[in-house]
Amino acid sequence: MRDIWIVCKKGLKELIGARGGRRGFLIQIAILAGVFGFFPLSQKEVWMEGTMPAVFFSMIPLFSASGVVADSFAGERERKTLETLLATRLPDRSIFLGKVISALIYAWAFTILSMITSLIGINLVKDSPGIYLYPSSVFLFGLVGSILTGLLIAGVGVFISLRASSVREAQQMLVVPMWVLFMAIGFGLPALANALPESTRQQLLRWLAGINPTHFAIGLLIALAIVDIVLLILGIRRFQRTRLILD
Amino acid sequence: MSSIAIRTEDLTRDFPTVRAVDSLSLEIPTGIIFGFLGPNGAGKTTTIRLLLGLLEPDNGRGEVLGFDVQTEADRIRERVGALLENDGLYERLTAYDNLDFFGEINHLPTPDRRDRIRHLMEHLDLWDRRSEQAGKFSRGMKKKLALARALLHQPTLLFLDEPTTGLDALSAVALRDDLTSLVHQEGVTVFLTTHNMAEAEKICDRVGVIHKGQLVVEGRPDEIGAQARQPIVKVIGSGFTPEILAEVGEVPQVVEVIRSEDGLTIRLKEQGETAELVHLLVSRGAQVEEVHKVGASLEEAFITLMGEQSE
Repeated sequence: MRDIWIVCKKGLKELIGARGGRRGFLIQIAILAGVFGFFPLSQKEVWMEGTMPAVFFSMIPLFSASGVVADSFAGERERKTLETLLATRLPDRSIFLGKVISALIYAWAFTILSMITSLIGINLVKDSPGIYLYPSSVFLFGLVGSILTGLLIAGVGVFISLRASSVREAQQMLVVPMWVLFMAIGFGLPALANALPESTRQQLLRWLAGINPTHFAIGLLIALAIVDIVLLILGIRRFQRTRLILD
Repeated sequence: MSSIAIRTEDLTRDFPTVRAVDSLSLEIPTGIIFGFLGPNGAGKTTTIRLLLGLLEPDNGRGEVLGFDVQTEADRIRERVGALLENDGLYERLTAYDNLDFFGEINHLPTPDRRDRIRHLMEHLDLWDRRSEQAGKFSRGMKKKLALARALLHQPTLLFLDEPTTGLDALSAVALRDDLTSLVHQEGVTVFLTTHNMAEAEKICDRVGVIHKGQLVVEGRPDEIGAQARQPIVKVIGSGFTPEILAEVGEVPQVVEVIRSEDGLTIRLKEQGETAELVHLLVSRGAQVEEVHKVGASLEEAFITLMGEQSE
């Protein structure tokens, strides 16, 4: 654990030190959090209804962590620091997990900041009296969901970054699975539903309407957790320092 | 501890288009500075990577500090320091944070870590600039910082891959001085790769020459020089007629006679007495003022060796 934390801490320190130091980092966070706070601000109470905030917060790590994970190993390789890191006593597993966790912490901190920004925004513009707080289900789903999606993007991203020779290459490669995911959700699922016979589709819709949203959310989180664990195990197995020096 | 720091037997590593290290057998005792010399692409860096367990050999075996490079590489990395081809510094971190990170990696307790960082940075004249980002340092300062990082956890063996490459002459001399003083102070065994022969000759106790992945020769720098060199005799004087030159050229010991402004340069096949040559010159009427035996440097020996290997 100590070695993982050492790698993780260094990663976070580098992130904060990048692009103009701590001040630059805070400005960057503030701008992005402001952008993410804009949607609830523009929708007022509508934002509070349904599962939208939870889904929204769960998706934030997909965007906020992608740059960080692409940089993890490909960045070290590009800046010629990877070999020196690999020549230390750090175990393979600690280097890999340290990178994943630093990306996860970054993404999660970003989500929390966005949640707080949204909450302030809603309370500023809502028409109803009193202070609005997220329902516990939204809050929990947002927190746990963002960890799991953060882990997903960190796992996939670090995996890709291991084999990429530059950060740009890693970013380009990382865009592909994200596009596949969004296309599958946006177009694949509706197309699949349309392709089903009418009676089957009706049956499916009835079944979906009968599902308890909480149970559905929990099921989704469990599925995501399983994917994350598989990805981490694959990543740990694949991370062998004797295969990482590409030149 | 074993008296042998590094031992390899037929160590071989292939890449898709080239055999980078070819049946390398070496034995390097502890407590010395060993220079591993060779032209670019000779296999020096690949050898270091194999010894650090960053690459797996295709054949043969290697031991560093008594540990197998394939099965106990983690134990090797715990005990060695490395300044590799690139200085490997985190340019966004400060100089101090760079060292602190590597001190933490090596589990140095915080007070010891602080003291050690200060000691090394002061020794290398970096302490006053400890809060600056490493990326703002000059190349020479980066190399110094990387040297401090390699020595931070007081390793028993230090790998240095071309430490002075890319530095101007003054910085290279300064780094070399820092390196030798620290190495002697800390009693570290050093495995140093370089293609700077003068550097190797000055600081190395033993050297090995590698070419196309194969060890060509290994020994003390003066031994290697003596093995490879063709001794030269410089004769200063006048009256060296073409007839005299022709006669000297026929002496079996002589390889070549070259006329120069102030006299002659005679290349010999091997070390030996020159009195006979001088006697011949004087007896034929030449006015000999001075005679010098010139020893070939390690650099000249290296060039000769590389030439022989290429033939």
